[in-house]
Amino acid sequence: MLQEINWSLLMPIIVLQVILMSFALWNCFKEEAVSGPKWMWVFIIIVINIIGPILYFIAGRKNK
Amino acid sequence: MSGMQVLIQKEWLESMRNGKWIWLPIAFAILAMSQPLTMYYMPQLLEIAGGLPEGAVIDIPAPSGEEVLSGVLSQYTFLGTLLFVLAAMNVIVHERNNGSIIFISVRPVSALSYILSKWISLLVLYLISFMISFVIAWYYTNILFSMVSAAKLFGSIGIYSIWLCFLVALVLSVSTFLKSNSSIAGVSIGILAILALASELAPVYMKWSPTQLQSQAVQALQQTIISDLWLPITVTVLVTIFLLCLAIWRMKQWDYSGH
Amino acid sequence: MLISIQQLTKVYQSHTAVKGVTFEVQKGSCTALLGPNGAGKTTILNMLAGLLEPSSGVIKFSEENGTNVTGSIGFLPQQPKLFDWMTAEEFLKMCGRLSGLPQKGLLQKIREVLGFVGLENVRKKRIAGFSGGMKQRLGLAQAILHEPALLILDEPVSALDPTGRREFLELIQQMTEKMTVIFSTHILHDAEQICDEVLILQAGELKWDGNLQQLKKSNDQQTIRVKTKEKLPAIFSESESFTVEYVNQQEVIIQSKQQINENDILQRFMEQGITVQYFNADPVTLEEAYLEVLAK
Repeated sequence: MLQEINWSLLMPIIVLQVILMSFALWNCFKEEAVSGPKWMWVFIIIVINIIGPILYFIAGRKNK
Repeated sequence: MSGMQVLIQKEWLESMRNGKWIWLPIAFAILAMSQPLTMYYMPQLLEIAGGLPEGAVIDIPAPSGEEVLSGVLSQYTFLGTLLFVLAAMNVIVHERNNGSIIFISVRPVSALSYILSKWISLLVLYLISFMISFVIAWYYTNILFSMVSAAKLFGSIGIYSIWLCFLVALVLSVSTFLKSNSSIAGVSIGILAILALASELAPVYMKWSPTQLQSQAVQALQQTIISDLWLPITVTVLVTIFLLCLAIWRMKQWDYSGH
Repeated sequence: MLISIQQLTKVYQSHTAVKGVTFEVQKGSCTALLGPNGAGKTTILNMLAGLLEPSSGVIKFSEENGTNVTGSIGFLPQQPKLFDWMTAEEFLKMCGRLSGLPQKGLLQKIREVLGFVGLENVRKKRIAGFSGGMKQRLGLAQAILHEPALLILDEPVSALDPTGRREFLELIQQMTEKMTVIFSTHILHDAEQICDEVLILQAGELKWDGNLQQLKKSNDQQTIRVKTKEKLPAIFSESESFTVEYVNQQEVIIQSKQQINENDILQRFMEQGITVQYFNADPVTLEEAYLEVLAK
């Protein structure tokens, strides 16, 4: 089953997801004015794929 | 007009610093890639999820490249629009609510420069995010399915870009009237939903509607001649200009004292 | 004369914030807008800065050599919220360009202004990491960068600690040599330190307009306060030239519009054999004159 999947096709999308998640985590650690507890956002960013980081960028920071 | 240039530089710097220039293009690229990939791996996915009976043969006709790209556009219609609205909802109100806008308002800067600087900066970000992601989707489609001509692709991008001009102007205009992020997003999405619903229910009467451009961007992929194209384009351009004027007019009524 | 304000009024739905205020600001003067919180100081300054449309009344700027002063205002709002994500230098660059300063020589000018407010070594740092006092200094820097004819400061020192307060007032004082300054405060002492003119405002009405010396003189009532060890006998008759008010059995306040001879009063107590524990005939303080104006 797994052999059938062409990883060179899927690699870019996985890499982008990792970049998006790392960038969100880095931003979250650096940010002082996070709305709500920081650990909650770290949890959301890591657990919810794609949507988590986007949610953080839209609603996670105060006055941004 | 030099004031507008300074303000555009400020917007640029801000969206670089708060990461909007990174996360929005990436989010769109992922959105665009996932559509052709899921369609390509659909048989395998069904197999994993469905647990089909032994010996059952899945026979889904492979979609054409045009159909796959249309699927990408329909992803944009819902998720894309949502992202565009959410990423634009606070660009005016956060400055207004925390009072930092005073440092701009107290200087000889016109409301026109201010609103246009916001509109242009957002639009450039959105157009670039959209175009890059759509070209990525096109690349995947060409590899995995059938070739779609570049002429069709750019025709579709052109029509969709006009829709984006309207979308940004709408959110900005709404945000000169309201003061909370959620109400701005709610009202903007509400207006778009009503227009979309009306087009669905009474297509004959809604031929002028800006939302019509979304379905025409899909049509542009499939055929070379698009019906009733100029009416919605003309209306959308006029409505966009009207919304920008409305925002400028409204901004002049603002009270900066917090009452 | 730089500005003349006539019958300035601001009405909000629920209340009138400013009621028919009329005054003038002389070129090169320093004016303090004094009054308790909620007196309408911020509203007046916002109207002067062009941020707020008056409900009625006129604000007239003198037009010298054809240049209108409206475009040449420096304004520091109360508790300024700066663009946190910018560096001090980037912020001033934006402000300078928006005020119409040419790109050429702007960086040099920004360095000078940052040096003046004492922020030169943090010019490349993000504003987000600044303390309240530093933000206030940067706020002043953006207000004076384009060398405006009129500098408007709204409660510039009320959020600062005592040291920061003194330093900031010194900066303002230095600015008064170069430009016309108008600032609001609810603390009389601030006004006394750097200003010659005061406008006293209460509940939207102008209660006093003049210089500080005149304010002191306006309350020309002389007051003597005496506290004694023994209970006070009736040492004053009905027909004295001054009014006598007994605070309690051992304390009395003597007041008069005319000059009272302090020695004369003290003598009377001595003659009666009363031990005087406290005797105060200080002239009226500015604080008392200020409270008097507010009480009118």
